[in-house]
Amino acid sequence: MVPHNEQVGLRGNTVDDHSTSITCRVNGAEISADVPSRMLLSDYLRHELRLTGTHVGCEMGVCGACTVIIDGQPARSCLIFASQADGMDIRTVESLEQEGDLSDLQEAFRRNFAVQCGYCTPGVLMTLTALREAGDWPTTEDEAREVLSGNICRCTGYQQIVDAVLSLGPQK
Amino acid sequence: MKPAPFQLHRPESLDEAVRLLAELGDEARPIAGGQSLVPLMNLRMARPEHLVDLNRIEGLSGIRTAGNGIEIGAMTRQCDLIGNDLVADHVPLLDKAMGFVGHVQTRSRGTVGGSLSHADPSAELALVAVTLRATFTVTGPSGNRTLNSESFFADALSTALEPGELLTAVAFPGAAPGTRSAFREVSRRHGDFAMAAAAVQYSSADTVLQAALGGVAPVPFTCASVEQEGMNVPRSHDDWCRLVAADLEDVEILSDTHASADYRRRLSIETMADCLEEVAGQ
Repeated sequence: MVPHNEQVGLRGNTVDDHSTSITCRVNGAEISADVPSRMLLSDYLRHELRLTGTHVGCEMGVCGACTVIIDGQPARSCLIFASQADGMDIRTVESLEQEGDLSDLQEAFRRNFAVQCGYCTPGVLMTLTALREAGDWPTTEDEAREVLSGNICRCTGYQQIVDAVLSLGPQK
Repeated sequence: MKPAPFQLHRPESLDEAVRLLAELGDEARPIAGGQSLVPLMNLRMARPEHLVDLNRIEGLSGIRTAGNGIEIGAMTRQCDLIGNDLVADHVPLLDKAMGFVGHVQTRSRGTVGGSLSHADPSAELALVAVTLRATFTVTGPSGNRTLNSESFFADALSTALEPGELLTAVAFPGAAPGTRSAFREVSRRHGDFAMAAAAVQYSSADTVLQAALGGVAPVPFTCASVEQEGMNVPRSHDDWCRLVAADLEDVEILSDTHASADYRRRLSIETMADCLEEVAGQ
């Protein structure tokens, strides 16, 4: 699913004035590429790797639609340059499904109608997935709303997302 | 909303980073977590021609005991302070403030040093540093120096860092046993910039009261009358309000679309009074 690029240049070193060579892991696959230094990670994922599940809402770090998981933690991909991604382990929303099956979290979203336009959804899913895997799972509505405070949703009023979150116990 | 072109430099040592910054001069900016700088670059409010990426430099992160308190390396990720025993045991006020710093997605990349160097008027880390009289270790072309919190923060988004200098660590004094503390913040939504934030610490061992406000002035503002008053005598909510109001009388209070100066003034007074009452009642 993830295209491989030819390995060029030395790892993580400047290739020319405005280009950097990187090697990183995206959804489990090793990627090596030369990237324009100023290319945002969100744009690299979407335009170069064609992983368009990661969405771009504000490009200034406030909306959360671009959230991905980097080295196990949720992070804003619009605030990282692809040229800094050397050595990173990156997971996008495309990594959640397993051989055609939705993850527990995605299934909970489906059952609880937690997706309307879907624009914020990948960012919310990656934030929650990272927390779930860290064993850090909200058990009350207040806690759920607090963990969601870094993702803006204009459609749902968050209620169905909260319902989906609370319908799941801690990760087994 | 895309940044202007720049050349990325990825030094592997602090010396190399300092040398690069000196060489490249005005057109270069250091980048740590990027949570404050990259938004500015994406909006083209900042257009450095060179970025000196600090993320590959070893030895700049970590939380360790130092004297009776702790020292935090500048590249320490904000998330690493949460749930850290040294922070909870020695600097409980910092522990309380961390949940208000940005969001989980920004704390994973944002650094302690980056937040302090950026010096946003509503930054919680800056507020705690000023409240507790933290000390700042800085490295530059002419070597190392130490600054106290009063000297470090110069103005909104401006510090005493000279061109080419980098903050490398910040040290917080340790809280004596029996120390009480509280941190309160008012913002439109959780995680938004503080319209007013209050930090209070009281050590019953030496009866020292430390109290400061964030989000109200260009730099965190120590409430001198409040600190002078101390907590030996019980005070009413109104008593505290009067003292804070007196402290704020001649202060140039920030004003923007989120909160006018007048609203901020009133918010600060109430929030600080609530915070002081919380500590008094602990």
